[in-house]
Amino acid sequence: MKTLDFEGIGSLLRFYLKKGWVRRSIWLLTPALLAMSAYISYSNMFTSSQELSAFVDESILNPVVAAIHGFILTKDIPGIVSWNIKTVSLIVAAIFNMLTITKMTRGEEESGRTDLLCSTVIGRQAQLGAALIICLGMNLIMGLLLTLTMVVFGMGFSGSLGMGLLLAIGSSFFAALASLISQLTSSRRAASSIAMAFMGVFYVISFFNNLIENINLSSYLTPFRWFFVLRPFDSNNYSILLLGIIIVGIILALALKLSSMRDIGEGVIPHRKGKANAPEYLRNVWALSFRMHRGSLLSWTVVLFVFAVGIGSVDILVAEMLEGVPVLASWMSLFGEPKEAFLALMIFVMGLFVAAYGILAAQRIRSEESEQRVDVLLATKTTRNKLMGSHVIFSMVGTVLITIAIGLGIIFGKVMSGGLSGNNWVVISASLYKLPAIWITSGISVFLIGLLPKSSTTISWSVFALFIGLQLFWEMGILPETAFLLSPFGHVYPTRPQEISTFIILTSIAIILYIIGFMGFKKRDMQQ
Amino acid sequence: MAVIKIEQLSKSYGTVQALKDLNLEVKKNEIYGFIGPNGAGKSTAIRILLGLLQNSGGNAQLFGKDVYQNALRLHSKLAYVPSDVNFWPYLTGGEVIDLLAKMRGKFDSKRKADLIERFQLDPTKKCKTYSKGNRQKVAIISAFVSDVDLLILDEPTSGLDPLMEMEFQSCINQAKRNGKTVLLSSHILSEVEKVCNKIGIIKNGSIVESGTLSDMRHLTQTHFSVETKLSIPENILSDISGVSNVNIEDRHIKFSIESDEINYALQKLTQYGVINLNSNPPTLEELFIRHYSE
Repeated sequence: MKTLDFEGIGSLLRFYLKKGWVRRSIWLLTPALLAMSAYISYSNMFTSSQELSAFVDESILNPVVAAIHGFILTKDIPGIVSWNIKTVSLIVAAIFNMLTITKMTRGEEESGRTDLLCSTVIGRQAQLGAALIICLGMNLIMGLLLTLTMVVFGMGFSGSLGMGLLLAIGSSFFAALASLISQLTSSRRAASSIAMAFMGVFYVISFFNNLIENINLSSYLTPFRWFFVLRPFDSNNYSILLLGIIIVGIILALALKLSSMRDIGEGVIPHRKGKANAPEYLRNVWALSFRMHRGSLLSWTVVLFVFAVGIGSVDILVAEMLEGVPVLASWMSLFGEPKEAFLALMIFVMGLFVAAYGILAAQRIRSEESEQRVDVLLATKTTRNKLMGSHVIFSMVGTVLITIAIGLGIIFGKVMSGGLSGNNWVVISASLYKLPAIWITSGISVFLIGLLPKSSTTISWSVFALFIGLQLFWEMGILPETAFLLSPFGHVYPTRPQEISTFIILTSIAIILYIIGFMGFKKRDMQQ
Repeated sequence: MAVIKIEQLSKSYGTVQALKDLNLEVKKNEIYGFIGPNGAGKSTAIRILLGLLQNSGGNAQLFGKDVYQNALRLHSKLAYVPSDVNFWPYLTGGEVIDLLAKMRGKFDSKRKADLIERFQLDPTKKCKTYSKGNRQKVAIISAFVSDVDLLILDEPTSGLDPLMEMEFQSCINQAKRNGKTVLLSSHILSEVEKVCNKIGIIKNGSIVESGTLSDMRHLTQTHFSVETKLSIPENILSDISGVSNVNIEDRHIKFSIESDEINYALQKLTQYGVINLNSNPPTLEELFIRHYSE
C-alpha cells in the first residue's frame, strides 16, 4: 500500500464536503446541545447542595437508572451533566459514523460510482481515506464543540476536555469498526446492519456491567464504559484516551490493509452459487418480500429475545435492590408495583427498538422503488396495494412477533434465574401495550412513502428522533408532560395507566396513517 | 382492434414536457419499432402504458381498455423488459425467471430450459454477480418464457453480444409467426430494420414519422453503383432532379437517387451496356439522421 493509493484524496474530499451539511450539523451539535440543556435543567433543579447530594445518592441506589447509565461519579453539576449525556451522545455519534462510512465505501462501490472514480486519477484507497478523514474530522470538531460548551457553562476545563476527547475517540472507534466491517461484507446494507449490531453488543456489555462500582475488564473493552476509567471532573485519567487512540489505530490499520487487498466491488468473503430454479413458494410478490425480509426479521427477533432473557434474569436482582431502598418508593410507585419498575422501563426501551425495526421494514418498499426493481413487478398481475402491503406487513405484523418474543424472553429469563412470580401476564400485556406507539411510528413512515417519497426516509427518522428527544427532555425536566404526549410513546410510558381507550385511539390513528399511505402510493408515479 | 392505442398523450414533470400529444397505434401481430433520440420520451410512454406513471392528458389503451383502470387484467396478457435492468441481488437468474413467469400466469419449464440454453445463461449465479449483458438476458428470457399476447421491450439488447442479438431476433420472429404483437424500443437500427414491420420515430415527445419501412424509404434516396461496357459521359444524369453525390470514373458511376427517378436513370444507363449493378436501399440510420437533424 503506497501513498499513491491515496492520490486524489483532496479532490474527493472537496467533492464530498460540498453537500450534506444539514446532517453534519446535527452530528456536530447534538452533544453540545445536550450538554447545554442538561446543564440548564440540572442547575435549576437543585436549590441546595443537599438536594443535589440526595439526587446523586438516589440515582446510585436506583439500579434501573444505574444499569442504563452507570453511576454518577462526582456530586456536582458537571458530574451529573457528563453522566447524563455520555451514552446518548456516543450512540448518536456512533450511528452517524457508521452510516457515513458504510455509505461512502460499500455504498459507492455498489452503485458503481467508485469504478468511475478509480478509473480517473484517484488512488484505490482514496475513497476509504476520504471517508475516514471526514468522520474522524467531524468527531474531533464535535468533541471540541462539546468541550467548548461545557467550559462556557462553567464546568471545569480538564473535565470538559476529557469529555470532548472521550466522545471524539469513542465515536471514532465505531468509524474504524464500520470501515473494517465494510471490507468483509459485500453489501452496504449488510455492513451497516452488522456495524449497528456490534454497537448494540458493546452497549449491552456496558449495560450488564454498569451495576458494578469497580472498574473491571469490561470497562476497557467497551467504549460505553471508558467514561468510568477516565473519571472526568474527578481524577481525569487521560491514559484511557491514549489507549482508545491506540485501539482505533489498530482497527484502522487492519481495515486499510484489507482494503488494499481486496477487489473493488467485492467483499473479502466470496459469493456462493445459488439454485437454478425458484422454490415452489416463490410465485408472487408476498413470497418475494418474505424472502427479502426474513433475515432481518429473524435477526431482530433473536437479538431482542436474547436481550429480553438477560433483562428477565437480572430482574430479581434488581427488584431486591429496589426493595431495600425506601427512598425510591415514591418514584417506583409511579410504575405500579415497586418491584416492576425495572421491567416496566426496560420493556418501554425495547419497544423503541421495535419501533426502529418497524421504520426499517416499511422503508424497504421505498428502496425497492428507488432502485427501480418495482417496475417489472408492477408490469405483472401485482397491484400497487399488494406490492406495498407485502413489505409493510412486516412493520405491522413483524413488530407484533418481535414484541411477543420480548415478552416471552423476559419470562424465560425470570424462570432461568428462579425469579418466576405470578405476574407474567403483566409482562406480556405491558409489551403489547407499546404496539400502538410502534405502529404509529411506522405508520408515519408509510404515510410519507405514499405522499412524500423522496424525503420519506429522512423525515421518518427525524420524527422518531423527535419522539426520543421529547422523552429525554421531559425526563430531564425541561419539557412538561404535555410536550411528551405529542409523541405516541408518551401515552404508553410505564408511569401512565394502561387503558383500553388509549390503545384503541392510538391504533386507529396508526390505521389512518397506513391507509393514507397506501392511497398515496397507489395514485402517484413510481419514481426514483 | 388495435392492441396498443395511444391518443394525444401528454406527460409533464413540472415545467418539463416529456410527451406532447403523442399518437401511436399498434395492431395485432405487428412488430412495431419505436425509435428516437435519447430523452425523446420512449421510456416515459412505455411506463405510462404499464401504469407506472399517470398521464397529464390524452389516453392510452391496451387491448381496447384503458391502461390505468384495468392494469391488473391487462398485465396478465403482456410481458415487459425494462431498459435499466435491476434485479434482487441475492436471487439467482433462474429464480427471477421463475418468479416473474409465475407472476404473469402460466409457467413452462421446458421453454425456460430451451431459452436458457439458447441464450447461454448460467441460471445459478446470483443477480449481483452478473454482467450487464447477462442481467439483460435474464430479463429477456423471463419475457419470452411466458406465453403472452403482447411484448413490451425497452432497449432489451443494448448490452448483448452479436450472437445473442441474433438469438433475440429469432425469438422475435418466432413470436411474429405465433401471432404475437411486439412493441420494441431500440437504438440498434439494424435490429429494428430486420424484425420490425412498422416504425415510429419519436422526437421531443411526439411522433414525427411513422409507417412501414418501405413507406419511409420513399422519402430518401437509394444508392447505386453501376459498371458499364462503354464510358459514361459526365452529364448523363444532369437532367434528373432528384440525384445527388454523383461520382463518375470512366466506366463506373456511383450516385444517390430518389425512388421516383430510378427507372429513368437506369434506362439512360443501360444504353452504355450495364455489366454490374449494386443498389443499397436507404438505411434506417439515414432516415433517422434525417429526422433527427431537422
